[in-house]
Formats: sequence, C-alpha cells, structure tokens
Amino acid sequence: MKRWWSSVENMVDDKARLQLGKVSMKNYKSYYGEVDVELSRDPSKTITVIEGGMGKGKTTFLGAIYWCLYGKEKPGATTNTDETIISNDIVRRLNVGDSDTLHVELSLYEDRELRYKIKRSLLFTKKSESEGLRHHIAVSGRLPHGISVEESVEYKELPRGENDWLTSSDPSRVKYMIERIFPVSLSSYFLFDAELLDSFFRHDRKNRVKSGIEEISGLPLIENAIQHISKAKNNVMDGIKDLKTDQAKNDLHHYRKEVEECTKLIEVSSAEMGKLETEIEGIDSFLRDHSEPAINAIQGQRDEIGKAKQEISQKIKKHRIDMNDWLLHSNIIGNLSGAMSASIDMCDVWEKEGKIPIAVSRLALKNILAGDPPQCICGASLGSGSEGRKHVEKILSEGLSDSAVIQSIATGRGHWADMLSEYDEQSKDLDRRRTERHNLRIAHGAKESEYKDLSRKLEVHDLEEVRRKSARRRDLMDKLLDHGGVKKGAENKLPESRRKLAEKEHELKKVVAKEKKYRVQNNMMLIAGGLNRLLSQCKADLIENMRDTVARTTTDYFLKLVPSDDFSKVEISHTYETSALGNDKKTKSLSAGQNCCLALSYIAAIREIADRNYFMVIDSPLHNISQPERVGIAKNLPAFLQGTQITMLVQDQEYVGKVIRGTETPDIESVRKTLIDVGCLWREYVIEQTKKSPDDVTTHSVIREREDGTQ
Amino acid sequence: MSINPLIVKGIDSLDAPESVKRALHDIIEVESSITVGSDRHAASMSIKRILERCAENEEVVEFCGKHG
Repeated sequence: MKRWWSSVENMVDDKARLQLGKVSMKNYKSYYGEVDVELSRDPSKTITVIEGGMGKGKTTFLGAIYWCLYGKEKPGATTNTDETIISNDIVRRLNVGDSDTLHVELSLYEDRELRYKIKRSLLFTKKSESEGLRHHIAVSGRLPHGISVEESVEYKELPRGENDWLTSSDPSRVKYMIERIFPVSLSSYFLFDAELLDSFFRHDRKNRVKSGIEEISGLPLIENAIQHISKAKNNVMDGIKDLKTDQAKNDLHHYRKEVEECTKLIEVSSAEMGKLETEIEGIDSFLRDHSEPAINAIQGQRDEIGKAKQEISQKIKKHRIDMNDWLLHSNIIGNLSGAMSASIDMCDVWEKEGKIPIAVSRLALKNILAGDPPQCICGASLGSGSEGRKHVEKILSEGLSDSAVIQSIATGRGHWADMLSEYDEQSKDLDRRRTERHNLRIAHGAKESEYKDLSRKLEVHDLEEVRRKSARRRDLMDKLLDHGGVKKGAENKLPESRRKLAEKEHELKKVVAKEKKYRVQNNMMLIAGGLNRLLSQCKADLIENMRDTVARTTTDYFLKLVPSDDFSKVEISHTYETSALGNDKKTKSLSAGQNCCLALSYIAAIREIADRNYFMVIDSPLHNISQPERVGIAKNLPAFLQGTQITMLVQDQEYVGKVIRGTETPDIESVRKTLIDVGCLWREYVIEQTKKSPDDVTTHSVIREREDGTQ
Repeated sequence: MSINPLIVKGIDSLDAPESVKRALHDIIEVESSITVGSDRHAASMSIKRILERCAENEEVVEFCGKHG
C-alpha cells in the first residue's frame, strides 16, 4: 500500500463545511414562546458565545439541537427530573381539549449555502387535568399526565445546483437523511458539554478514544462491509453446501441401476418362465397321455384280457380232455359200429349164402365154438376164457330155443342199428365239438393278440419315466413360482423405481443448473475473500495512520492549550491507551483542567479524520479549569479549528471573569477579551430567565443578544 | 453514513486493479446507504449482487484468486 497519509492533513480544508445557520425554538422545555438564535457562518469569525448562569438553559439549548436532529433526549443532558419537554405553564393554561405546539427548527449550511432545514414538532392536546409526570417514549422525554402528543418531523434539502427543495416528512426517511449528514454516532464529538468532556478522559478513556477514531473516520463502514461480504460469502457457501451434486448423481445412478435390474429381472424371469412353461407344457402333454391312471387302466384291461385268455385256455384244455374222452368213447363205438356194420353185412352175406338160417340153431352156435380158431361171425375171438365164448356158452347152456335165439339175434341186430344211429349222432357231435374247439382257439387267439397289444402298449408306457417327469414337473412348477415371485416383485418395484428415477433426474437437472452457478459462486467466494483481505488491509492502515495523526495533532493542540512546559507528548497506544508524557517521557497524571484540555485537544484532533468539517456546540467548555487554561483554549481553539463553526455555551464568570495578579505579574485576561483580541468572536447572546406572565409558576429562558456585544 | 474521503483515498491507494477498487467503492457505497435499523438483509443482497457482477470479471477473479 502506498503511503497516502501525507496528503490527509491538507484535507481538512477540502472537506465540506457544515454550519448551523439558525436555531429556532418554540415552547421547548424552559424556552417559553418563540426563540431564534443566529449562529456564525463567518469563516473568519467562527465563534458564537451564548452566556448564561447555572440552570438558565444552556444545556437545554444544546439538547434542543440534539432533539431536533435525532428526536430524542441527548444522553445525560437532563439532570432535572421535574423538567418536562413542554413548559408546565403552557400545560396549566390549556383547557381540556385545547392544543398547542412545540418545535425546534434548524437550518444547516454546507459550504455557505443553505442546504438543509429540519423541523421537529410536537402537537399537545390536553385530555384531562392530571398532575404528575410520566416518561413518554414517543418524545423520549417527560410529559405531564393528561397530555396527549403527536410528533412530526419535516426535512428539506436543496440539492446542489437545484432550485427546488426536496421535502420529506416520513420519519424513517428523515432519520436516514439526517444520519447521512450528521450521524448520531458522531454527535458526541460535536455537540458536547464540559462535564462530558471531563468524564471523557476520566471514564472509559480507552474505548472513547478508540470509538472516536474509528467512528469519526467512518471505519464502521469498512467493518460492516467486511461483515456483509463475509455474510454474502457464507450465503454463497451455504448455496454451495446445498449443491449436493454427488448425492444427486449417486441417487440417480442408484435408481437407474435399480430400474435396469428390475427390467432385467423381469426379462430374465419372463424368459425363464417361458422356458419352464414350455417344458411343463411338454410334460403335461406327456402326462396327459402317460398318466398313471391311464397306465393302470391299460394294465387292468390287459389283466382282464389275460384272465379271459386264461379262461379260454382252460376251456380249450378241458375241451381237449373232453374231446379226448369223447374221441376215445367215439372210437369204441366207431369200432363197434364198424364191427356191427360188418356183422350185419356178414349176416346179410351169410343169410344170402344160407349160412345163417333165419333161425339160428344151437348147432350153429356149436359149430362156431368148434371153429378153429373159434371165432365169432363178427370176427371177435371166441377163445377159451373170452367173454364172447362165455356169453355164447351161457346162451347154449341156458338152452335157448331157436326162436329165442333168433329173437336175441334180432334184438342184437336192433342194438347194432341203434348203435350205428348213435354213431351218426356222435359224428355230428364231433363236428360240433370240433367247431366249438375251433371257435375257442380263435377266441383264444384274439385274446392272445389283444393281450400282446396291451403288453406292447405297457412296454411303451414306462411308469418310472412318468414318475420322473411328474417329479420334474413339480420342480419346474416350484421354479416357475419362484421366478413368478421374483418377476412380480420386480414388476411391483419397477414403477416406484421409475418414479424415483424420474424424480432424481429432475433433481439432477436442477443440481446441474445449480452447478452452472457454482463456478460463479466459487468466484464470488474468491472475490469475497480477496475484497475482505483488501478491506482489512485498508482498515488496518487507516487505523494505524489515523491513530498516529490523531496522536500527533492531539499533542500539538494539548501542548498549546496547557500552559505548562511539563509535557512533551500525547501518546495513543495500539490498544488506544491515551496518556500525556512528561519531559522525562513518563506518563504524567493530569489535573481536571488538563484532562479537559486533553479531551478538547483530542476532539479537535479527530476532526482531522472526519469526512466533513462539522460545526461544534460546546456547553461549558471552560468549566472546572483554571483561568490560564481558559485563556489558552480561547486563544488556540479557534486557531486549531480554523473554519469550524464553534458555539460556546458559557457561564458568565468563566467568560467575563479575569484574574488580577498584582503589579509584578500580569493579569490574566478574561476569555471574552481574549476572543475579541484574537478576532474570532462573531456574536454574543445572553440567556436570561423571566416570568412572561405574573401568574407563571416557573421562570422561562429567554435569549437575547448581549447589549455590549461584539456586533 | 457518509463516506469519509480518507476511506475513498485508502481504497484508491490499494495496490489492486481498478476493477477491484471499483467493487470496493461500490460496496462502501452500499454500506453508506445503510442507517441504524435499516434493512441489513437488503444490504447483504446488494453486496452479493456486486460480488456476482465481479464474478464475471476475469481481472477481479484472477486478482482475488491470487490474493484472497
């Protein structure tokens, strides 16, 4: 940073000079009626003196200016607790329902031009007859009970180079405008009394000096700027903190993946289910044709057929046995029938040959028995012991007659014929039996064939395969259910995932939009950091240099104001400890008057760093200090504060009193004479107290020009 | 609060580009427009707008990036 401070000291003359032109009052506290006081605007005669005794209204005059500017009592100004903002006599004279007004009006000049007019008024209305006082917040002062009050303020400004006044009566606006011209924080350095001056360096000196330097120079502007920049930076940082890009991207990725997984799961499950369903369909088709019941039915059918076949076989077997028996029997009969037939034929032959008479004789029988070999005509052997021979011999022994024999033969022949007839029947029976057997064999063959078909069918129907397939189907169904569950779950989840995905996509869009701002915000943070650093540097330099300047100037003024050679320097440390050093460079303790001089020196010195050359209204600056110091102030203060309008509210003795010290030591002149000699006194006023009316209960302040005044 | 010419001079004397000084003057100007009890939030927003404007100025960004 360049050392620019060297140019500062010359700046005072360049600053805008702010002066009070006229102070007008009506009914303000002890000032009953209307009072107008003109103050000096002469650059060469800058001092106006208002002289008044103790309790005459000097502090009230100072307080009136403060109240007009800021709408409140000057801190520490009121010591009289019975003092009201409006005269008790006025209140007393008002009838209930009547009103009266109070106002203080200031005209302010900037660089010799009337630029501002401020008028603050109160409208009082008597509501009731009540005694006692109350503190009224609206007017920041005391009021009698039973009085209502309405405050108004009017601000007028004539902008440079303009002819028309700007006017405002909005209290906030007026407050703002006044603060711009004459900040309340600075007022204690320009509108002050000696008691405050005295306490200035007695109490809390360190903080007074610190705030003086910092407030006068306007450093709070820089501090506020630093704070606001930091706040703006924090806002930006908060914005960046809110920028959850990564989170949004992660969320988006998560839901995108979730949707993909769901979709894939559904696809895979669907494909798997398709495969399973196809396989199950095949198994179902197989099982429909190869079901266990179906196989059981075939088996049953085959068993039935087997049974039937077996029955037929048994029938055939029985039939064969019967047939054999029958055939055996048939053969005997056949053979017999043959023999009979042959015998009949032989008998016919024999009859024709006459061998057999019509009646067979015993002789014939004897001849047959005597044959060699004895043989029956039927060819059967009639050997010894044979049944035939026994039969023939029985016939011979029984002695049958020829007729009986013939009868017997005839009967025999009849039997033979029956036998032949029976044989015919048997032949027919044989044919029938043969047909029957043939039919049985055909039936058996059919059953056999059917049985074989069913057996072949059963061979194809592998029950184990069916069971295996059934088990497989159950597995497949379980899998199908599993996949179905998975698919259903994924299908249920998918809409929600899609919704969230859409939501996150929207979020990301916003975040991306924010991201675009991020760069700007990041830059803003950089800039905020950089500007704050510069402002901090600027502030540190300002404080350092201002402190040095104020200390140096305070030293100059103090050494002139205090008529003593005991002091060498005023020092303001880095921690704003302010001390007057003696010639031995050690801190010296100060008298009350010296303290007051130091405070005045300091206040005069800090004007060097103020932005304007403000007017000063000092109440009792000569109080509690010695006459040489008073004279020192009267002589030097106007010189220090060249061009600054100074209004001094002084007590008569402090002002006009002089010290007569005898012939050897020169007298110490009065402050008044000193000011006149210096040539800086513009006008003198005197405050008096009077009763305006004989029935007034209190006295009232009246300001008039001093009769033997400077003008 | 009016702006003390010393502050103006102090800012002007900073070893920084004109654009940076301009931003500081603007910020101080905003601060001077604030009075007791006025809307400090609005002031913060005004300063934020100044920072936003500066964020588009490469010279300011570069300087503050180096010296911030």
